[in-house]
Amino acid sequence: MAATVTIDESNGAGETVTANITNSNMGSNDSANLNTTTYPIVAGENSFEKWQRFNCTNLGGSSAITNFKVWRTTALSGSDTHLTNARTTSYAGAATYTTPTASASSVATQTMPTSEPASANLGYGGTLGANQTTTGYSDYLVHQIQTNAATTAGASCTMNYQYDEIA
Amino acid sequence: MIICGQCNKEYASEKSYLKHRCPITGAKPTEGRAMGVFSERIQAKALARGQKIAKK
Repeated sequence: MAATVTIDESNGAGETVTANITNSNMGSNDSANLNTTTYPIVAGENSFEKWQRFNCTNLGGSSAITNFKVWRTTALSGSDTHLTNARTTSYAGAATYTTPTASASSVATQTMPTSEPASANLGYGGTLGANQTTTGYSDYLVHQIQTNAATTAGASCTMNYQYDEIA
Repeated sequence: MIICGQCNKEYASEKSYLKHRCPITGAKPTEGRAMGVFSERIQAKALARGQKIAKK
């Protein structure tokens, strides 16, 4: 057996958690698994922040999961930017959930990596690379797309979520 | 409230969510198959990376 880990997303003022999401579509609505045709981002505006976490629902006999890493592959449109709180240095610790906003995020302030980081860039219990030895959540991953007025429609990117597992 | 992102059913607590068998994945959220069709590959890769850490 091995650990079971899903990606969960939090939305709304009262924090509704959608567990085991099927996609990370970024749009003009604060909802999980959103339809980008229904909720497109207007050129020059921002997506709603995504507040997501790794959720270890079962360690499956392993002693720990660790080294949470997130990154994006494939390019954004035009001069758009993809910002996050995930980082390998100067990590600000575990972010406290606040209602996702479409204003410029005060939490997601660093460019999302476009290749696998050399070390953990998302923490557990506020610490990068900490071993998670019980079921439960990682720190929040917060990310947001900020578009440029001259952007073009239709960018499709891949988000990568990775963890290591210690037997 | 917690919603299963696969079948969209709502649960009052995480405890009750973890007990349900999702009709989409055919698995409980605590079972590996809940991670999708590539679950075995995801788990094997995670364990292989973890093994390297343990050896250090």
